[in-house]
Amino acid sequence: MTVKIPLRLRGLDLRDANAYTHIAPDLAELSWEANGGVSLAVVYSDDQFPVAAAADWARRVAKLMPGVEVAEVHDELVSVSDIAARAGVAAEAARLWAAGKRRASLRPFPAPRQVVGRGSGGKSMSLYTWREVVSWIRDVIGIDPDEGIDYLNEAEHAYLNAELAANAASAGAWHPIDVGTTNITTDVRGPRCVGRGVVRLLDVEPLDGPSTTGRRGTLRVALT
Amino acid sequence: MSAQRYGPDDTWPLHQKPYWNKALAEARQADWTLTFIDAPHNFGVVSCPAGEHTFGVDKTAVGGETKSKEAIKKIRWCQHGSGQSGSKVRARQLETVRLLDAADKLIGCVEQGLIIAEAKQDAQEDLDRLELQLRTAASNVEEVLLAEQEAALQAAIDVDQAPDPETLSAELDDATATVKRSESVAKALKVGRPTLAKPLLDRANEAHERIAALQDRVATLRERICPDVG
Repeated sequence: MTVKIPLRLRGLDLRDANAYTHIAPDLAELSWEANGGVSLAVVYSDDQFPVAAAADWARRVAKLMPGVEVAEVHDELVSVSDIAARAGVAAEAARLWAAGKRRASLRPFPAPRQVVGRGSGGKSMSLYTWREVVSWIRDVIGIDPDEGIDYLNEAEHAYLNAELAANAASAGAWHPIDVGTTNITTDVRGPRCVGRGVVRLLDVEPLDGPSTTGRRGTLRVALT
Repeated sequence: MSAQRYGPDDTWPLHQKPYWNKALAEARQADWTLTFIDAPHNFGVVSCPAGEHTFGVDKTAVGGETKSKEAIKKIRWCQHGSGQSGSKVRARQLETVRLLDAADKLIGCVEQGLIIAEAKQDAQEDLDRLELQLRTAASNVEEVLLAEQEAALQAAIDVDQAPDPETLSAELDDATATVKRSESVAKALKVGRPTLAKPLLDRANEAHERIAALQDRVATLRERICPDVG
């Protein structure tokens, strides 16, 4: 089954149709969508290691779309009325499932992930994680409201979020770039414009001393 | 961006992939709009009537069929679809059909479960009969009966996952609630459009009849399992 991994984006509002024109062509394989104010790049993976595939796509998004980053794996929350609409049953049936008053003997209905207020009057609304609810409906009710789609389990979800956080943390940090044996002419002493940025030479760490054409070694440069 | 906007009453441009055309047709019927971008990789953007739900339609990217199927779910799950700004008649028709489809699925599940549960009970009764025969049989036929008992035992194990009558009964309650909900939507439709409502109400009646027949079978099964109860 295909694993669906929605990645929540920061720095892009896909409710605006114009925003779709900024999506890099190399990222067309992802599915882009807005769910209210939440903008998503969705990975549909048939890969053996979907978590690694999603982490890789997140890195590509950050690289190819400056100013846009993947904040986390989106865990879709749904209300009882959403559950009823998606499962195609009456709202009362879904309410009884959620209250544990019906069909709870085989497996208890998932606990709410959030409880939010419903304006004045002290009423509240419970929100459930869709991936947990759909698993319960498949197991207990025997129907499939989200046909052909699987979701990450709790451990995979947490692992991918940790990967994404690590990606974000390393994005601003120094990291070596392998340029192979390419010769780089570096008479850069003051800041120099390169492409759309400015390169400032910080340091040269020689490997084998001066050569006839200059010095070979590790360059540390700042690109701003 | 030189994009063209198409509303639900316009004729939308066709996509080169038929599976995307299916999703686009469903979006148009649900009063969504298309912003046709027509770039090399980007067909356009589809937005719900409230503008809160949108999805991109690519041209030839990998996985397009999965994306189009997911787009259909997104359209069906969006609560801003037809009924908000579109035709109430159409919304009620679609809602009734959706509920009746769901009820059919639930009834189908009960039918399957009941077949397994009845098979399990048959196997159990065979087993009981053979045990009784074994106790009273002469020793020369004991071996034959033992072999038969083993086969019956295996049959009982094979259907060990059978649902109990209480579970089946609860599933039928869900199906009944769903059919009743579909009837109430269809009755609202009947006020102004009786000819549209009639086939839907007929279908709901058929669903009720199927549920009643299944309830009888569940009751019979319950009596077979616990003859002293009820």
